Amino acid sequence: MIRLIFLSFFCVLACTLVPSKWETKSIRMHELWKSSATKEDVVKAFGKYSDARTNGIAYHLLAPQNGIDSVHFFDSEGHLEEQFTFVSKTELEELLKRIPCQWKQKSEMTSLGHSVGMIDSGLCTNLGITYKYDNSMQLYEVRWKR
Amino acid sequence: MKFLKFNLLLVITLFSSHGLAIECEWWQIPIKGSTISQYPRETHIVRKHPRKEHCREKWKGADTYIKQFRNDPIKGWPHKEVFKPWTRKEMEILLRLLPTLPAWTEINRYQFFRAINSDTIDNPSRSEVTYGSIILYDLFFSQQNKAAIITHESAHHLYKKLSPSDIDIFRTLSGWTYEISFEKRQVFKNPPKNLIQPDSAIGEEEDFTNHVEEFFKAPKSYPKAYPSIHKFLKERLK
Repeated sequence: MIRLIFLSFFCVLACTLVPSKWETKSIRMHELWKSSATKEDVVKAFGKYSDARTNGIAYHLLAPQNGIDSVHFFDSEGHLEEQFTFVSKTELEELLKRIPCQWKQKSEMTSLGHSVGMIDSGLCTNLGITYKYDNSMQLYEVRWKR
Repeated sequence: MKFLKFNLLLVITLFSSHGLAIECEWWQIPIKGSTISQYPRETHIVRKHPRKEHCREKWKGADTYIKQFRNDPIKGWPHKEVFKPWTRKEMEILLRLLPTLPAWTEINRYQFFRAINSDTIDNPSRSEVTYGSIILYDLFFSQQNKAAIITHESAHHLYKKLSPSDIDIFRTLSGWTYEISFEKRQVFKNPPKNLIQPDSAIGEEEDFTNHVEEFFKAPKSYPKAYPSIHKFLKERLK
């Protein structure tokens, strides 16, 4: 019984102390966005980046020639100015649930090269967030921009 | 009066000679009711039994495929193209062709629409991937390689079913690279240097569909030309 109580207590404590480790990347990016994070904050959250320029840093999935995980741009004062990532439909739905906003959402039949398909997109004006389905990647690009 | 009697007699004679009261659809043939004699099968003997008259499809799967033809236009179609109804002759061409395609094309999942001409030059067909439609233009019916065209279109729908990790594998095998423009704050996609078809440069999806088409129509030469993508496709297209 004591063991069970201790285990429950440990679980609650662990989940409270390290919530960010259990979040999806896009939710953690949103948290960084809300706090006007600096480059150091981003590195602290996601580790060493795989590519960098004076105005931003990028994270690739495996190697620079492979898929892109996220890209973050900073203003002259060193705070997040723009960032984007690519997420699955499940992750997008989770993100939308977590961001209280009057989303303007659209679903439009669009020409995709030689095929045609519905492209979903959304806009949250007051938080500066947009998302759009990328048919080739089968993922949604989520972008935060001031 | 004599003429009328003769006609009536003729109709009765014809009807009784066929012995059929059943009416079948145009893609079906009527099968007479009869008694089947006892015959052996591999594992057992089938006893003499009566067979009811019934309609049988002329081409394998025709009863299923016929439900997939649509005569109405697709709502919200983004191209300036005119849809039209199917003719029986066109449907027959498809009904003969569809059962010959491999199961991995999942051909029984799609709806077939008919439109006059594509607004893209020399384009015999197109796919609408959200609801699963294949649109065939007039040009399709004058092509020799109809099976390859339908396979190409089915590949657009199969691409939609690939997981992001499978897309990533295909992209890497084919030679696509992504590049970040820090100035424009965008991702640029660089197509492979050696394209299987010139229009593969449109994007990964078109590249994939061109590979699937070649996988289907050149089973001997394709594995030699693209061994790694052939392996990738062979593991998935079963």
